[in-house]
Amino acid sequence: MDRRKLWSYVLAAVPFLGMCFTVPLWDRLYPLVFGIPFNIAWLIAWVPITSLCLWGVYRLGKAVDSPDTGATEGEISK
Amino acid sequence: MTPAIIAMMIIFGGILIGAVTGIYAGLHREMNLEQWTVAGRRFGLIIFWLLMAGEVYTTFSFLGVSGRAYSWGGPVLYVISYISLAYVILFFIGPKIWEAGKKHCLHTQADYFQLRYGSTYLAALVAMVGVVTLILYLQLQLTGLGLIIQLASFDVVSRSLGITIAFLVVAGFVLTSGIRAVAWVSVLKDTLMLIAVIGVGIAIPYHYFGGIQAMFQALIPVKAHHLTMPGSIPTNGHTWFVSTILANACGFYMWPFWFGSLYSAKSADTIRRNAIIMPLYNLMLPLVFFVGYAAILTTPGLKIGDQALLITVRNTFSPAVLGFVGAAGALTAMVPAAVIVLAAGTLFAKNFVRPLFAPSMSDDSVATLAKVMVVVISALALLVAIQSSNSLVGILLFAYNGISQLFPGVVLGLYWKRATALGALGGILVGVGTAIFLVFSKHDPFFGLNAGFVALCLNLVMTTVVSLLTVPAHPSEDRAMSTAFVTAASQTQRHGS
Repeated sequence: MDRRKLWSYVLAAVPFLGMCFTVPLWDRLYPLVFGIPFNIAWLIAWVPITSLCLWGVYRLGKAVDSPDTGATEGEISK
Repeated sequence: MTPAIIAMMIIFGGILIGAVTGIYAGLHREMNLEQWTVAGRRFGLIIFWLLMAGEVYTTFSFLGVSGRAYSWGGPVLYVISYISLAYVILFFIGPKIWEAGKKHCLHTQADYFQLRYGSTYLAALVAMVGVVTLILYLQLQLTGLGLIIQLASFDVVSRSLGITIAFLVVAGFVLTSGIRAVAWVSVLKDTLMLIAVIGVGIAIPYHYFGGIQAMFQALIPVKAHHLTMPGSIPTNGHTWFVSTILANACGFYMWPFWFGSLYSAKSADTIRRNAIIMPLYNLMLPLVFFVGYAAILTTPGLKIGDQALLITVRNTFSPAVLGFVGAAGALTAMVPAAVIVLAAGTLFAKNFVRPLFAPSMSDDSVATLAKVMVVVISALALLVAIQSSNSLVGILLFAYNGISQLFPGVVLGLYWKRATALGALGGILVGVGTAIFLVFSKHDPFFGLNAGFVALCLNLVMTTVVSLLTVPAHPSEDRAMSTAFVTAASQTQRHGS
């Protein structure tokens, strides 16, 4: 598989690890973060991280899609 | 003026502004099938974002989530996770679904199945699964709407009258403006809802406890076990959490209305960029949790958790604030309801009636029949909603479990060239059958696992095995999108328009 594609899938799997599979590790009350239970604070933190991961996947995809054609928005012509 | 009249005037004022916005959105445009269902595939980044947010955040995220924080506790956190992860899945499959739609002028989810698998019967089955689950989903919105009107009017206006008025408005703007109405009413709905959620989510903890931190200080000594999983529902532990998130994140974009909405985007890039920013919208969900958590102390003993938010607002603020929150809530039910009836009507006309009973129907007649169906489906849902009580949770759960079963057919169709019509058909039947059996025989959760997840796994195995045992419908062009069918589809399209 293309190296960049592989990295996009790895990056996309990160939010699944953070928000889903690791639940036994972070589903607890303490330590409170700004007075908020740890499990809520953990998920609040992972919301922007999810966006960041997708942005990373997007950048990787752009690099594949537009080598030297300059067609950065050109997915329609594909 | 009594408090009830003030609150109701504001709510119906909001509904009226919504109606005007929706009808205005489609004025001076010829509403053919293409415009009505997918807005001519012209929505750019911002209007598409509003449409998506409008459809994702329904009365469930408003009343249901605060209600579950109140009655379930910790397990409610699954909502943040599964909606965020659904956007990750959208990022990958959304652009592909859009490309197929753009290239072959698709309007519905069943159109996609028809194109990919070349089987009219499979497409008709998908359309039927879609219509049935959509009607159930509509019940959720109607029940929420009824709850809002009843509580905000201090039980003066009856539930059925309120629902009927709101529903006439929904059918009205869907008929005149189609998906454009949904997008533009979303502008109003999202603005009101964000103000209401942020305002209420911060104000209630401050009003009663002096702050969010102070609220948890008061709550932890009495209800510590409620705040982590399994909270107050013994079956909803970590296994339930993981399996529910996976099933719901997969099922999320399988709601048929998403396909029409995705096709309305201007480009695949619009969808990708939206998928990047959409998770941030979930930052408002903790505020909804806080309202539910606060209500545990301020309004204990509610039988219907979904009432927690509205009753707390009613007990805390002036009728004008209650009216504002009620108007936001009513629009939050009406926008998704609009897109649901739009999708259900189109599926029924285009993928069920035309291919099976009237193959010579033109696209214009399909649009007319779809509009008739919008009225029929609205009327049916209205009757059921007025007759039934609020105990629809089981049926709704089944609706989500049912619609998730389209995931293997859609995704294997996109990524695996060997997937066949019989495979998809078998998978859907096994998946839906398993989900119905587990939910109605009260085996959900099944050994701690979400029933929809169990059904999805069996479905995936079935789809894969049957696909490997059968020959693809177009063996000569064993490709993801069969050109033979594609030509036929585009001919129909030209013929119709």
